[in-house]
Amino acid sequence: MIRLVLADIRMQASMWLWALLCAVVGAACVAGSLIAMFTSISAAQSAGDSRVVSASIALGGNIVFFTVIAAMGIISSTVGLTLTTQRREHALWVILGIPRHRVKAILRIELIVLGLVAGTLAIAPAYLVAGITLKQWAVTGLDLNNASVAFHAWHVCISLLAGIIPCVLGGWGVSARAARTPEMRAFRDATDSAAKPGIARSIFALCLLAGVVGMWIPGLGLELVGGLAQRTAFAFAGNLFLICLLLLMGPWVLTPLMKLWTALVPSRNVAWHLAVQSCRARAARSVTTVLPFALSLSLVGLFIVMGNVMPNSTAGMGDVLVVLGWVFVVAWVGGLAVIALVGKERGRDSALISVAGAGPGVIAQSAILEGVIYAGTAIAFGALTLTITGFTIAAGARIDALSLFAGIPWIILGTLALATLVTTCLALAIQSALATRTIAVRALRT
Amino acid sequence: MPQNFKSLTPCISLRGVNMGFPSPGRRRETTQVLHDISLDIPEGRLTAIVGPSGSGKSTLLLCAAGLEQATSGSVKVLGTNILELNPRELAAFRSENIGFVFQEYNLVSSLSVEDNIALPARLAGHRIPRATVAEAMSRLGISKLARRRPDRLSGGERQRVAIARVVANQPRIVFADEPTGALDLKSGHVVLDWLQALPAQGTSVLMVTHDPHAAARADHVVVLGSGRVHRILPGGDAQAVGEAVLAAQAEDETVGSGS
Repeated sequence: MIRLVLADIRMQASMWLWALLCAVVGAACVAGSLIAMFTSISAAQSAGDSRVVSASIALGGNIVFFTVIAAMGIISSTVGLTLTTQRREHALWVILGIPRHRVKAILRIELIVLGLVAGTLAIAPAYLVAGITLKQWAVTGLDLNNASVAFHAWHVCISLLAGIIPCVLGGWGVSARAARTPEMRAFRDATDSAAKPGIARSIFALCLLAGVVGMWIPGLGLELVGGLAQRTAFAFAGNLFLICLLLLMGPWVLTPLMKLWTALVPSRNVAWHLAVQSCRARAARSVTTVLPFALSLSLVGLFIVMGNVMPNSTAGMGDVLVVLGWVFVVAWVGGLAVIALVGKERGRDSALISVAGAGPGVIAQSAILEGVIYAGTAIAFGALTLTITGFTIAAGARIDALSLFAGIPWIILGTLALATLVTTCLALAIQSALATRTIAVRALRT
Repeated sequence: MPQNFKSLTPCISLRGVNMGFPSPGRRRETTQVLHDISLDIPEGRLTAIVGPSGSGKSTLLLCAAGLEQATSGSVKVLGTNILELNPRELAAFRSENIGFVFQEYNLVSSLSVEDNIALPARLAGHRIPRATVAEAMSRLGISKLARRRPDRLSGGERQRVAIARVVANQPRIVFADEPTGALDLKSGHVVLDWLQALPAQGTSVLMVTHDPHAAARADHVVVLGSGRVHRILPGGDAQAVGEAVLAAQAEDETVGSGS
């Protein structure tokens, strides 16, 4: 079995490279944040500064929490896409007589190998992340008691675990699904069917829903001993659960959102038509592409609203980057990896359209418009969560929602939305330009 | 001298066409697939290209369609030397004049059946009426599949959609690369019936096939061997086509063992 695992990894190396990149970036960000947190705590304990110990735990804990969530979501997406592109090979294994449980075991061993390699490669970048994190904390006014990052053996363990855990957890369900897919369905070039959420996802979603309700009730409806600050904190936590819930149910939230807003565009342009149909037909691909950007935009919205409400707090870009900086890095790398991973699938359709008589301009336009649709959906999702967040946190803090929205730094949000738009469009335009170098019929034969 | 069909106006004229591909793993070496082919394909006829595997029949079709760039020579389609067109002009030329039916991957996976049928006209900058699309689907018996996507269709249904696209858009030339290669007997017959009927509406058809029976349904049969035109036969006799292919193969093997 080990020979098959190694041979499969070797054969699919170029495919796994993108998943590996995401895993390395995710592991480096998580491990680096953890190293920074423990370094800061250790220095504060040595100096007997309990205030900094608490601050480091609170700040570092938040950073690690959000980075782990982002890394898990993105690694799961890229691993899922990587395994999906290899579904024919896996179906062939089953046809040749390898039992399904063994296929699943092989895929999970591959995930462990991926995580191990990612964790190993992430050791050096993790120090870079830790160094930058400590500098960011110092800039925000946290007294770090001259804490500096130095090598410890346990850092290697943290890095390896930060590589392996997200890969295995993120790919666990995906590998089970890949091994379950009926052989002949894997051989057909199937577009995405409207699948129902699985049991694990449903249970997790119910837990998150309970979290939303459980946090919103005290945050919005009860008089608490801690006063408005406590109510606001509960409302914030409820919104955090809500964003996680909506992203977990991405296929049933982002897809209708994408269909809704694209249906409102009255264009009869053929490139727009092709882009819309491509995004709709490949709904899972679209959701996977939108997800990292939706995640970062919605979390930024939440933090900005919160920063606007809490007394003596700020909601500038620097503050957002302190907590969500690594989430951005992970999300953006993930988004670009997903776009690159689905390139081959998109290339075949482009080749057919080219054979049918589309000029290079139509194909490039269609690719860029796909980028617009992905970014537009992420921005629409961000706007939706920002609206809900704004109203609920305003209710928790007992302030006027409209004055809250008036105080939001829209330029920062607009810049982020523009960055999302430029990133997706540019990535797809580059991919389209590379694809047009391939002769159409050769793309159809591969 | 070009090998042609006397007294028939050509829609495709190939002169001295050579085509080579880089040899896998040996960047500096090329494998010559087509050797100095000069051939006229008559307008308003169904012409079949047959030959043993590796004889260059698909490559010849793709060169004639402008989907592969011939290494040298001239390829005139409807009087236009397509080797002189830039990619934009070639795309416009294809959308206006040419239709394709491949063995597989004929349809854009993200578009519905009716969208696939209407696509070439939309790309050419005009729309074909919905009624024309509906009529083409009705003639091919696929009206019920109008809103389905290609992955929900059988192989035979997909080929019918590809034929309906040709019927609705009425290109002047249809290139068909092994159009029945992946089909059962009945579906294959349906596709061939339609390809045979297209010349009556003014469309020229150039079809590559390895099946002598399918080739015999053509008006003319071009037999290729080792990237050269081996013979040109009239259609109608599957046995003669089969024998010509075997003869071409035998000649290839003699040349191959002698070299």
